[in-house]
Amino acid sequence: MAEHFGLKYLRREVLPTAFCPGCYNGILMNALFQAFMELGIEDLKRFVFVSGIGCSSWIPSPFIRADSLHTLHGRAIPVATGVKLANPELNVIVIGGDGDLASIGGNHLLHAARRNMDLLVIMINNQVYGMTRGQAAPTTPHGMITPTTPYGNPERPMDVASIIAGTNANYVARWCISQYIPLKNSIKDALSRYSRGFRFIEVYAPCVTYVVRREGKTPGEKLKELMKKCVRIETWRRMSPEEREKHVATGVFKAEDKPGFIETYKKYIAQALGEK
Amino acid sequence: MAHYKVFINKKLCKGCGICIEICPRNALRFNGINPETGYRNPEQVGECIGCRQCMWYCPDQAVVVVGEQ
Ligand SMILES: Cc1ncc(C[n+]2csc(CCOP(=O)(O)OP(=O)(O)O)c2C)c(N)n1
Ligand code: SF4
Ligand code: SF4
Ligand code: SF4
Ligand SMILES: [Mg+2]
Repeated sequence: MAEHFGLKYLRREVLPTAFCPGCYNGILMNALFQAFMELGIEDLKRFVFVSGIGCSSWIPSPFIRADSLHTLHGRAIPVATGVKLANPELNVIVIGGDGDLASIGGNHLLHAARRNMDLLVIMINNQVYGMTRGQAAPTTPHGMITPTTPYGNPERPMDVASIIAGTNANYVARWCISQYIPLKNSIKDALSRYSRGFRFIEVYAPCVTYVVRREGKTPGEKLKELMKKCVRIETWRRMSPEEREKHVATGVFKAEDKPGFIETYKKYIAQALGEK
Repeated sequence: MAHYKVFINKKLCKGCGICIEICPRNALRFNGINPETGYRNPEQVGECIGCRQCMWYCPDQAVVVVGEQ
């Protein structure tokens, strides 16, 4: 029987994944694996994955067949920075949640982006703390009922991609999980045309168990809803404030190819050592 | 005209129904419960146009679409 293209990048012995049935984390995995396949990456020997704590942090470890570091909640980026500085030849990818990367680890994210640190960071924005049963996160929509906001969320969500676009990061994009082909192509770009500096991809993918099911929808119904709700940034900008709240702005927010931190740092070290 | 066949890996499928709901041709349906996993597994019941959306959007790498010329 024909085999799924993703299986060669997975540790088959630990499948199926521990994710809930329908969890969109698995769709991001397909897009990532298809990007690897189309780039001709046969195995992941030159890659290291780093994650923190949360459902999305489980994507690399234990499932992806590559070296990985499953670190503390929020601390994936500083550990990944250390890995990259210790061996700049490695491709270092961080995969984590909105809670992990934008809440407890928010300052690490901001400053790695400011440094234009040579990392690819993929943030699954599932709108909640999925692993601990769906509490509100900094990305939870206004009004959403969660165990920590029983009368609805009084706060408004932070726009993580726009914030990171305001730093020195080279590449910033946001895609909905329903935009499989652009998401896959964006991951490819962030590993090829834009292979240095800080690259950030936000993946809007509501938690199937604590957001989608709570809305009384099936994961398939929600995917079809997202196909309408997610629009390109240019379209979103032309909308009224009320319309904007009902849609998700997606696309490439920024794409530059400035030297990353590693290159700049090496230059300074060479100067300090008197090499020309 | 090309013919396409859809294969479901019953060890990986968690019966979420995404493939069935996403298919533009209604080519897939649930068929009973898999006693080994306790989940419902889909099977192909109609003509497939090979768009591969079921394969992309299956979160458990359980769908393979094969084209036969
Ligand atoms: C220092 C610390 N504080 C709190 C926790 C509890 N905790 C585990 S996962 C998590 C949030 C996970 O949310 P997110 O990063 O968005 O991942 P998701 O599960 O939604 O993919 C929290 C608060 C912890 N493990 N460590
Ligand atoms: S709780 Fe949410 S994010 Fe975690 S595995 Fe389940 S559906 Fe996925
Ligand atoms: S490839 Fe397209 S048409 Fe064929 S079963 Fe899958 S979703 Fe349906
Ligand atoms: S999308 Fe995948 S896991 Fe869900 S029912 Fe279809 S084959 Fe099974
Ligand atoms: Mg989350």
